[in-house]
Amino acid sequence: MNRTVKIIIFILICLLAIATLSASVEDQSGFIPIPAITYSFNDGTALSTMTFTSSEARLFYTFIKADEDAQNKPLFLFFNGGPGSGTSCGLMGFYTGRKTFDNCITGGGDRYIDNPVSWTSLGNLLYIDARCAGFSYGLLPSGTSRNLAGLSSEFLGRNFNSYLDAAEFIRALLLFLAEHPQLQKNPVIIVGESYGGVRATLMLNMLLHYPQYANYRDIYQDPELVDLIQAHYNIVFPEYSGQEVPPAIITRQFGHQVLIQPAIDNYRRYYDGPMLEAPGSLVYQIARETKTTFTPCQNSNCDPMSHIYDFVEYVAKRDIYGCHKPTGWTDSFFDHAANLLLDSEQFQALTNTDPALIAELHPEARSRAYKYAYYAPDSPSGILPRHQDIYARLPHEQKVLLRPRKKNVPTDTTLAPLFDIPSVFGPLLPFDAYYSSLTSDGNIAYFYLNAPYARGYAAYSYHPLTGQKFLQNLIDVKTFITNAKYDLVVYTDALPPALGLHSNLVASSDHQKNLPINTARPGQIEIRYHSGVLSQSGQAIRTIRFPYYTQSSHPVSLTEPHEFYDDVVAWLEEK
Amino acid sequence: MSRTILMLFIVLRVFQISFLCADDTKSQTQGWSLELSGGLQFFTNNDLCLATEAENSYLDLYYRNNPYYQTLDNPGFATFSYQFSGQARIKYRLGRHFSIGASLNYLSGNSSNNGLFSFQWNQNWRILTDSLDYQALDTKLNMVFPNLGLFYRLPLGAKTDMELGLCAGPVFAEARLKRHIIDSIQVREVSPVNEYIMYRDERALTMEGSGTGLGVGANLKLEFKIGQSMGLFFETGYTFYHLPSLSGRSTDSAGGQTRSWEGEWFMVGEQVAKNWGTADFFYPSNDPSLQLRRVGEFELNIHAFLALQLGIYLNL
Repeated sequence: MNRTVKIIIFILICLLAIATLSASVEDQSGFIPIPAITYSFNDGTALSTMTFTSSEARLFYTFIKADEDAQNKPLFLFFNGGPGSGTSCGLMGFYTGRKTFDNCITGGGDRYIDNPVSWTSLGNLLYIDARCAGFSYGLLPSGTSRNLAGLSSEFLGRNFNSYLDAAEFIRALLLFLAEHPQLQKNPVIIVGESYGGVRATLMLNMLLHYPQYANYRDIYQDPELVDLIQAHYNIVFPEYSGQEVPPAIITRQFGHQVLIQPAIDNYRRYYDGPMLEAPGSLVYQIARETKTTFTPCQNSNCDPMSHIYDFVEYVAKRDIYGCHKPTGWTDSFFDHAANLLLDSEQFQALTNTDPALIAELHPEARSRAYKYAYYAPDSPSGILPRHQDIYARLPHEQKVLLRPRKKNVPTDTTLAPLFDIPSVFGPLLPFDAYYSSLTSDGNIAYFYLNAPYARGYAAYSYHPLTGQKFLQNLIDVKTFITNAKYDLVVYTDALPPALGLHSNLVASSDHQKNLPINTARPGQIEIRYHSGVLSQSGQAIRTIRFPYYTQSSHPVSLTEPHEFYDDVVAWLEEK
Repeated sequence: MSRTILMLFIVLRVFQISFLCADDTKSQTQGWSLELSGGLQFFTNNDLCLATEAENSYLDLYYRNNPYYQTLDNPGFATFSYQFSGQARIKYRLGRHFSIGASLNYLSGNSSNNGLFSFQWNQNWRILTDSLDYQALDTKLNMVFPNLGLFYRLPLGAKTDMELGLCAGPVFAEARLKRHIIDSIQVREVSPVNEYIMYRDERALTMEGSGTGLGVGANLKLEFKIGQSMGLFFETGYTFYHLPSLSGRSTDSAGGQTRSWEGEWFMVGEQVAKNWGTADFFYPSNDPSLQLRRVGEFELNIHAFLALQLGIYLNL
């Protein structure tokens, strides 16, 4: 065999290898196994350490490849909020993928349409459902009984807290990247909605400052996660193999976040109520439009935001997620999408994957699966008696999420026969379900069945520590946040002054409503850090793009998909 | 350390020569004797007992002084304050007043704690009961102190002598710390009534360390002759032991997982601020994950006061 023939054979082998690798970057849906994780919380001293081992879970994911040149395009990681809301019925369902459910759903005609602003033109898309939300489910540890007592022991902070949740999403992401080596070194852009702001903050903090999560410098300690991150960086940044990678280098991969109406910490509460109670606010506008009367809180026992929610939802009968729309308007889309995803055709249209081919969806693979303890997905909305006291003490976002309201699933009878997955796949064991747009049991566990938080540790999702981590990330991560006019649940006008309350880190936080110039939807937040803060030698200034969406409710990608898409494209192109 | 021992030997040798030459009744006063004794030593040390003190500070800040909690059970911790000691000494009388000797001292101390601490937080709609059931909070120390000494005898009566002594030598120590807690939170919801365990974990940390150092001491002895060649004595004294470091193996079981490591002991320093107060924690550890909180070296400095030691001597 002469040299020329050998070279030709080598080139053919290389081409074949490349073709094989390329072929594997295809649209797909499935489950990412999350192992039992041993982690701990400590509250300033290692003596206070509380150690937990979570239960295994399977997180549902959908990958949609970029329209062109997928191997060289960034990966957009999407997730909704809750905590405990499904992503598949949220961001995956509406105006991000190649196909989308219609934002003018009327109950008839096509349930999905081609998305005119598909983000696949920008990159690859990865959607992940959180533990027990969407199609994801938990796995009972061996020896745990499948009864209410057994399931109750699963819906505790041990399995449902913000830090574990972020760590699970990182594990899922890194595992996905490891299984798709063609994408492993690509930039990852995190896109989170609502509570997804907390998840994005904690994920990025763990990814950028990973060593502190295994040396008692952070409240959350997860040495195995740190090893996984280091192993990933050994591949992505081989020049730092085996060494601690600086955040400025890590941002080559994890350097962007897009946050849709994000919850970050509870400092927003110091501003949103007073802003909305001020004369001339949006709430008074709603009162005028609906010919009702709004009276602000009259005594100190009255919580302004709860009071406003009650007025908007029950008196003005408007949607608190989008107060220019009727009550339940926003929920209707997610409920609708949740139902459509239980239809094989609709599922396949959105994911480009035949659900029958996903082994973990089938009952045979779900002998240990569970999704709920008290709140079955098809149970009537509302809080069970056992949780009424808990409900009264929930943070506002959670009250909103769990408060009783009528379902807005279209009653169109032509849709009913479509929901074939439960009937075709077969019945599931008790406490399991195919789909859940929100895990109410999990959500309650985040806030009231969370042992370190109950002891007063900073393990609370909306603790100011989360805001500090957001500001720490912001030094290195380019950030885009939506500002939707009609969203009262996360009233983002309150975000700039709330960030300014972190006076130990920032000197000022200014909402610059008319900047940048020459943009269709101006708005930005300028954060000035104190000199020397966060390892910066001088006074660092960071700017968050903060466009104002005048027609939007909470899910901006649903309400102004074109505008949102255009702004993200322009922002990504900024130097 | 070997240089110190050599110096000591030379000094003793000089004393021996000078007094042998000076004493004209050496045939009566020279000779060997053997002493055996045992008793209690009270001691303080800078670093080892801080493990227990840190535990007390933890309970103070997080529970006892926490305005949200009501204390239900609070048995307290005993501190590590005395140890048993035993000693064998062989001496050679250089003359009427002076002797030199070699001793082997064994010291063993142990502080052992257990008990249930429980605290209740009434949140109106539910009551949290935090229980820290200490199965063990133990500190254990064993030391061997071979030493050389120089002694000065002063006759007080026909059958009574007093003796002053100085000694020095290497010290070999083994220490062990054990913290074993069953930590749980029990919840009782008021309306409707519902009880469940929100959290339960059994955590056991065992730290072992060994090291060598130097000890120097002074003692005062009162002897009572009860025969031609034997007698009883009471002894008191002070010894300072210094071990610059300890190192050894540790295991930690928590959350159903066990990890182990080996390394040198060091001091961890932490400060925690709560709305109701702050606390500083200093305690020994050799956990590599706590290296960033390392504030200094672990030094076993023991000031041992020999309170009461009873012995017998035999003139050989």
